[in-house]
Parts: sequence; C-alpha cells; structure tokens
Amino acid sequence: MTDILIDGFFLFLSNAWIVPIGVMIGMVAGAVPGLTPSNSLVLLLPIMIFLPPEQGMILGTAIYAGAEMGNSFPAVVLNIPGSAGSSITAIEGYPMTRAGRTSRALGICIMSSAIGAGIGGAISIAAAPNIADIALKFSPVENSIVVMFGLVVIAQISSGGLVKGLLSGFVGLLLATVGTDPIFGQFRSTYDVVYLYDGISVVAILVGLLGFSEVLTQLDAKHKNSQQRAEERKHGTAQAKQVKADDDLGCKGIFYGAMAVVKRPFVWLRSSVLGLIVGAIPGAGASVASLMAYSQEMNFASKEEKKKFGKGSEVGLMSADVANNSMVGGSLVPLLTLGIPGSATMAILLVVMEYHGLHIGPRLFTMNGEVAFAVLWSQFAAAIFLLVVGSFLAFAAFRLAYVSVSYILPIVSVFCLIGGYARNQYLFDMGMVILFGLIGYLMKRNGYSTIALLLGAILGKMFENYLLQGFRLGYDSAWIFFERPVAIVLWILLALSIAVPMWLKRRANKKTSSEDDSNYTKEVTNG
Amino acid sequence: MQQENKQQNPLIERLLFPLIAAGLSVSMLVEQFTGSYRDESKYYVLAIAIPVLVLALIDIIKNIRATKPKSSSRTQTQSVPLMDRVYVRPLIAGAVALTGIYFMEDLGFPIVFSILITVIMRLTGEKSPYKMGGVIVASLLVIHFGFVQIIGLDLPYGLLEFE
Repeated sequence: MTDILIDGFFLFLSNAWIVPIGVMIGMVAGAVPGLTPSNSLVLLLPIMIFLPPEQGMILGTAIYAGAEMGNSFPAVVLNIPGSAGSSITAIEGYPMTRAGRTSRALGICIMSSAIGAGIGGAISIAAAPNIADIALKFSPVENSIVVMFGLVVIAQISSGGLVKGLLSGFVGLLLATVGTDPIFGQFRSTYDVVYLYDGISVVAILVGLLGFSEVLTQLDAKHKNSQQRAEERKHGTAQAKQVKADDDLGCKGIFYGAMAVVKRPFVWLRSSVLGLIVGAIPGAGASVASLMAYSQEMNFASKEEKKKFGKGSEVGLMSADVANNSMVGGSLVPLLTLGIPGSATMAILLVVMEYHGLHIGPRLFTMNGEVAFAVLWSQFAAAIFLLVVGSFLAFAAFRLAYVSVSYILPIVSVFCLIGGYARNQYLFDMGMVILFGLIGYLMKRNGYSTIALLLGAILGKMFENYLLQGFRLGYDSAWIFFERPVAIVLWILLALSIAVPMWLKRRANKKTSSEDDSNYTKEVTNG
Repeated sequence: MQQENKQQNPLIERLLFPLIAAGLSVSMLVEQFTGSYRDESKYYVLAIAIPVLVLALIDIIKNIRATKPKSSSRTQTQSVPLMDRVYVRPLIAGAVALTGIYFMEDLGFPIVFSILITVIMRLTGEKSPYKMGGVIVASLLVIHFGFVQIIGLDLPYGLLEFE
C-alpha cells in the first residue's frame, strides 16, 4: 500500500496545477446564492468527464472545498449565506461585521477552512486505505447490506420523513433496473426504446435532479424586478464601503483573525473530527456538520464565552467553518472505500469514476489506488490554496451575492442540457434531463428526497450484482444473508439506524407536548 | 420547503409523486411479466417494485389523513395572477425546453438555446434585450469554443450547418 501511496503522491504532483483553478471556481460559485457545490459541479460535468480521471476527480474535490469556503464571504459581509451550510457563519460572522471587525471575521473563516481541509485530508488519507482493507474482506452478501445501509441512512436523514425517503430510494433502485440485466444480459423495461437498452443515463438523472430541478424551483420563487435589484446592489455597494470605512485593519485584520484560530487548537481539533465523522455519514452534509460543531463548542465554552454566541463569537465562527471543510475529507472516505456517495457532490464524483471505468468500491485501492490517493493528497494542496486564494478574494467575492438570477438561471439550464448530453451524445438524454428536472422539482416541493432517488439509481446496478451474487453463494437461499457474523452485525446496525432516530423523535415529541401542557397549566393557574 | 409543507400543498399535488411511483412500478411489472424475458431476470424487478407499491400506498394514506379542512385559500389562489401561480413558470420553461430538444436536430443548438435563454430570462422578469443578447452570445461562444471545438461534443447545428 505504501508504494501506491507514493505513486499517488507523484500522480497528484503532476496534476497539482488543477487545484488552484478548482479552488477559485469553487469560491466564486460558492459566493453566488443558489449555486451550491453540487450545482457548480453539474455545470462542469462535461469538462470533468473530458479530463483524465485523476484530473476530473481532483478538480471536483477542489471545487467542493472552494465552494464550502466561498459561501462564507457573503455570509460574513452581507448576512447572505451562499448555502445552508454557511448559516452559522452568517449568525456569528455578520455581528462581527457590524462591530467593524469584518477582516478579522474573514481571517477566521479563511484559516478555519484551510485547517479543516488539511485535517480532513490527513485523517482521510490515514483512514481510507484501512477501511478499504476491511471492506475488501466483505463478500457480496455484506456489500449488498452496506449499500442498503447507505440508502436507509439517507432516507432516514431526508427532511420529509422515513417513508418518503425510502420511497424515493426504492424508485431510484427501480429506475436502475431499466436496460440490460447485468447477470443474464436480458433487456428489461426498455419498452422497445433503443435509447433505453443501456439503461437510463445516470448522468441525465443526476443533472436533472440536481441542476435542472433547481432552475425550475428558482423560477417558481418570486423575483425582484430590475429596479429592486438595482436598489439592492446600490445598498450592497454602500454597505461594502461602510465595511471598508469601519474596518481599519484590512489585511492585518485577516492575519490577526487567522492567528486567533491557530491559538485555539482544541476548538479546531474537536470541530474537524466531528465534521469528518458527519461527512462520512451518507446524506448529512455541511449544514449538519457546522450546526453540530457549533453546538458542541457551545457546550465546551466557558460562561463568558457562551454569552457571545449569536453575537459574533469567534469560537462559534471557527467551529462552523472548520467542520464545513473537514466534512469534505470525511465524505470522500465512503465514496472511495465503499463506493457509496454520501452527498450529491460525491455522487457526481462517482459518475466521473464510473465514466472512466475506475473500480467502484474497496477494490479501487488495489486496482486504481494511485488515482484514489492522488485525490486524497490533493486535499492538502486545496488547504494551502484556500489560504492563499481566499486571502486575495475575501474582499471581492462577497459582491457575487448580488449577481442576478436572471443571468444565472438561463446559463445553468443550458449547461445542464449539455451536461446530460455529454455522456452518450443522445438528444434523448437531454429530454431525460428535463423529465427528471420536473420530477425533482415536484419532489422538492413536496418534501421527497432527490438525493435518495439519485443514489438509488446510481447504486442500483451495484446492489443488484451483489444481491444476486450473494444468492448464488448461498445456493439460491436467502439464509446466507443472516448467517455470516459480519452480515448479522450490519443488519443490527441497519435496524438501529431505523429504530434509534424514530425513538429519539418520539421522545422529543413527547417532551415538547408535556412542556406545552405544563406551560398551559401554569398559564391557567396564573389566571 | 418546510414552510411550504406547513402551508400544505393541495392534496392532488402531494399525491402526484407516490402515484407516479406506483404507476411506474406497475407498468414495469406488466412489461416484465408479459414480455418473453427469462424468469430469473424479472424477479429482481418484482422484489423492488413491491416495496415501491407498498411505500407509495402508505404515503398516499398518510397524505390523505394529513389533509386539513379547506379554508379560504381558494379565493386567495383565484386572485393571484396566472404567471405568479406555482407550477406555471417551471412548466412553461420545461415545455419550451422539451419542444426545443424535439426540433434541435433541424433547428440546431444555437437557435434552440437562444430561444430557451430568452424565455427563461423573461420568466425571471428580465426585459432588457441587450442583457438577453449578451447572455445568449456569451453562452453560445462558450458552448461553441469550449464544448464543441475543444471537448468535441457533437451538438447539432441544424439550419446553421454549413458544409
């Protein structure tokens, strides 16, 4: 494994030039509200497919890291979070701006993000090969349960509830059956449509559900007219000038902010480990990571420090930004070791891997190990460039928060269609992008998880392969899925992942209702 | 989104996705079991389609049971202008895009994408023809030089194809 680790490092070095480009694209995209990291990757999908696999994957990882930092800039300066993951940054960063400490807040964000990315990289590079080693010992029986586990966790976490999440995931699995049967080579559910003989293009499903559906959702929102937008821009420029006038520290402030982070090693160590763990959980994402790290620091904080939370706490800001970026490293681990993407962004990287014929699952480290390690190494370079590029862009990138949706939406929609077309070069796939865009829009409006459907569609073929191979191992008996010790442990974990959140939810509901009752009784007794 | 759910979308809208899921699974099962496929192949589809049907049914029942009695929302929806109603703008964009793709082979991507960009910009409230022209020209230049010339995507030029 050490040889592959070194080969991966040299492979990364020869492709390191792509990291700053990715970080810069990510930062700019992250600063634009409505352009999430996954959306920006969807737009660049044709380029990522065109590039060699290592470059495509490194570019994707660098964009992800850059976007997680870029969305902090408008959050701090204008109180406009670039995405849900930076809402904590806005809560703590904007009060600092109002207190005339913008550059210090930006310095904290930049350094925290860089440290988060670095620690995420270090731990993931240490953990991934070991997890892959364990996963290599899994038979198809265990692998099929692991895939099911990933789907159930995503369904559990999805906002609409377990039934909606599971329904979305199973619809994804059903869509994956369209095309040629992987075991017997028979056509299934093709309805004699030639374009469906190879199955529904995963790229079309991905681009439709993540990209085009977002365009349709944004179209549905009420839009400001050009006069309102001009006024908003004017207000933003005035605010930016005010920030410059109030904040007399400039670059020094960024430096002092960065130093404040360095002086708090326990904060960034705790937050980065938590971010990493959350990143490895399928479906959790940046918002969960930052929120958990924030509440963790609130628990650890002294009484004095606790009072500052919500009013411009540096510790709160640090924890959220460190967790946001260490999460990127965490989310790479299940993707590279088990072939299970934990988020929409990782699903896009999986599609890139699949397109280039890389082994998906634990064998990636033995068959294409240098590519996997090159991606993991690239996180260190991303951490350095986050620091350098971030310091340069900090005072300019937040202005992108005022880019009008009138320019973004048409460009995104056209690029989505091209992204869907790029894989097979069928116009039929463009139609599928629109169809899945409409389905995704309907799902989002009614609380169904688009990520669960997407992952079902992506993992469906793999799941079927493992499941049928498992049956063959057990001579067509299902008992084999309940006989092996590792399989039994995985079943228990699967059952717990369904039961524990349900129990916690029920307990929380009971607590809330009993509190309401006691409040009501108090009100009645007080007259 | 949560806020939208709290406001509760109309029942028919909430039932649409589970109904689509149920319809899809039934149609796939019919296609499998009436076709001349091998036995082993279709049972996997059956194993996935049955949970889809069961989950869709549970979801439909949950949605029907969760329906609140009608309030004065009907009069409110009637007073909303057509273009501001939910689904109208996304459906227009989707329909234009689908029609454009249907005719793309003949018209070519520059014409289809120009129409699509114009429609979407109009739907977002943009009226300036200069801004629309700017976005169209910039997008087409990126597509032509970036995706067609460098990456080698074989996008149809249709009417603008010169031999």
